[in-house]
Amino acid sequence: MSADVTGPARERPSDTVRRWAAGVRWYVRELSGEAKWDDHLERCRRDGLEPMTRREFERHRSEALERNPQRRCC
Amino acid sequence: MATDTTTPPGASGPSGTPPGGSATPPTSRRPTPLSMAIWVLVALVGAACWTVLALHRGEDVSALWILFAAVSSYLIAYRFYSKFIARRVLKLDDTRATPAERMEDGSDFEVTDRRVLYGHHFAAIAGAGPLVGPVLAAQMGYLPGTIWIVVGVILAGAVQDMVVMFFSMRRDAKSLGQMIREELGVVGGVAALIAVYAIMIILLAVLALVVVNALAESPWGVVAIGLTIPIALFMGVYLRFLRPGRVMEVTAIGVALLLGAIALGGVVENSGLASTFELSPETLTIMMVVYGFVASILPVWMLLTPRDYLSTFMKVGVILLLAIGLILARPVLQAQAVTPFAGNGEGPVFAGSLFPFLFITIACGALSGFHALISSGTTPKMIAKESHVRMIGYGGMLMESFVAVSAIIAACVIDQGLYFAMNSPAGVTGGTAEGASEFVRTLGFTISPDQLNAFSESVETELVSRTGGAPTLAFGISMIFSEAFGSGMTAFWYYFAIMFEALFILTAIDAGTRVGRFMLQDTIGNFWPRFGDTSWKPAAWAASAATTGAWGYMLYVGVTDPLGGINQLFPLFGIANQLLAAIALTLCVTLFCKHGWWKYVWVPAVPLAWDLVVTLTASYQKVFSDNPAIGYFAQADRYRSARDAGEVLAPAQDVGQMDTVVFNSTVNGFIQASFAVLVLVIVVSAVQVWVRAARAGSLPTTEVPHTPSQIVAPADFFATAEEKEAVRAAEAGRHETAGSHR
Repeated sequence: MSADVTGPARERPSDTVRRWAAGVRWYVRELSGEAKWDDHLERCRRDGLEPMTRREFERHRSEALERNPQRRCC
Repeated sequence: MATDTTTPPGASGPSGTPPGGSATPPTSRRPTPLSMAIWVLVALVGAACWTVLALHRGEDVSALWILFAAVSSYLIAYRFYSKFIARRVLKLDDTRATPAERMEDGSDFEVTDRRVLYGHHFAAIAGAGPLVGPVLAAQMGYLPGTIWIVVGVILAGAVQDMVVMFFSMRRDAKSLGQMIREELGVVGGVAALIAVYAIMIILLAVLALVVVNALAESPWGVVAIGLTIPIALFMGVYLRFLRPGRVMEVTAIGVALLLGAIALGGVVENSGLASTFELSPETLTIMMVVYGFVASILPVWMLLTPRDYLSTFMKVGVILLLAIGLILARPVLQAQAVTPFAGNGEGPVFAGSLFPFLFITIACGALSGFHALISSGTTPKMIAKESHVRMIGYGGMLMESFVAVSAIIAACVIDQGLYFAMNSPAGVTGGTAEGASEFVRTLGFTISPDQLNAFSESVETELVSRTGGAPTLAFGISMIFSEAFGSGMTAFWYYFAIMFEALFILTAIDAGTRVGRFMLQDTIGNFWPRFGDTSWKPAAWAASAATTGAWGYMLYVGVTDPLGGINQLFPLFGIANQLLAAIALTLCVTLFCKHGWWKYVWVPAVPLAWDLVVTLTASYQKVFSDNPAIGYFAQADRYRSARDAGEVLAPAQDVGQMDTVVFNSTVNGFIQASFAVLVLVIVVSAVQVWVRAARAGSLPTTEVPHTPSQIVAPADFFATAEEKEAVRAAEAGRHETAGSHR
């Protein structure tokens, strides 16, 4: 996130809270699959491709789910 | 904060050395005095808690002893036993590329951060099973159930999940069925296919029965759960058309609407509309079946996916709240450590003595065959590094077991007179407070009709004979939450807990029906290729209808059974689940034999032997016991001869109900017997492989060859300093490579 230039200097409490909040946000976005869109943009940028629109991308994802049902256990 | 799993570009190619060479497994370090002191302390805490639980009698025992006994046991098992399995037994090898790395395609196969995958895996394995089973098992007291949940998970359940995940990962993430077909041959493969499908049908029927029992004659419950359907549809439309992909946003809206739905249920309960939503179990059964069919043929974006978001977040939220609530409320255990039902097998909740029926009933929280279906096929497609099998497979199951422990606590902290009044079938309580009070007195507990009515009023629904486990758990949760977070909301918390359970049961039914449909289409597709085309609507609809019809029929059998559906069907469900575990463990032992890992074959073989002894004893008793309370056929005989003699035996009230008992018990008996036979077929075909392997020392297996891994990632929940350094070095190397390509 932030460049750690000052080395292991003591973190302010507000920064600790912010870091934790960012961590939780990252986790929840990854878990829910929302972050997949960021990955797509990143991949397209890296490979020099034109990204899909968000709408197309999400449709594409739900079609993949349609073909491949996820199990939910007891 | 960024993910600390780094994937260098071109990672899928077999050439190239891992940056910094850090993909080699870390060498084992000597434990520091501090870490030794910490582990000794954890062991002492665990030993102290178990001692208190085992020795205290006739005094107030706090439920926290159970919580801490379990958690310290989990910590020690994870630190030592799972590490032993990872290093010595399976020899997890981080220089090997996983299927996710080798076959990454951006949808199915995808390298996933270990902590995110832990969440995915846990969300997939955790459901109503570990909540319901322990609640029912509490009729034998808190001690036997707690011991089995903890010991079972450490030595059997978590081992099964981890080992199956490992073998699937080494075989391009193949499913359990595919692996059995390849390793055991056609006979074993076909038996496994039929067993998995049939077992899934029973699972869905019992889960649906739990929901029907929780919602019957309960307007508040029906309104609250019914509203989840339009809420999920709204979320689906929102994600599809209004703001695609904004999952967090729509989930927050959805959760707020859910809370509103619970509140609205309370308003309806106390209004003139209440009688409109007071539905009989039979009506609810029809609604469930129609719902199940429609939900399974709708596109996933409409209902399944959005509700899955809700149920996942509710699941994690409630479990966190419950853990915090238990610590704040510090409830005292009301149940005895061991009740007489453990020995005499005459408990009203389910029949049969501790061995084997306790192990059958607890099922999912200690060992669950269904997890083998997730641990093969699904999760291995996303594992970044081999070492992650330990934290995701073993660690994920420990969390599931923790849920089961919370459930048994919730059942054991409520008044035990109430516990038995709620969980005894209506056939014996008569469904009234007076009848229940009298029946419970014969069991040795005292609760007056007034007290029972007061409990029912506190949650605004009749609690007598509200079987199925979910209402008992919801009552326990509402008590703990009221104690911990302030009183006055008991009824709200009760329906909150009911909703939490119903949400993921409905998701399981929807997803399970779809999986069943795909299995059926795939199988029939072998003979009639067109039917196997999953996008051909007539085939999809027919296969969905067949699957829904099968579990719907079993649900109907359960709902109309005068002896009580849970009492009759739950053992069938428990045995089915444990038999599936036997199939999975048989595959594990077979692969150990084929690899020639004779020294450590006991790791899966001991749980397999135990599981086979338990399940086959239980199956034998359910089929051949001459005690009508246990044996299905003995039960059918007893009611048949009484009917032929012109008598009506309680709890049946007329000849029609006598016929129902005879027919249902016969059906259950045949299903039970065929499950056991299928498993024996699989075990016998496996034993032949074991003998051949023993003669030859080892046999060829289908393990894919070693491909070097390029990914650098920490192995465990928390990254060590060296691992962080290795990840940083790999990331720096990646940027350099990316720069030189420009």
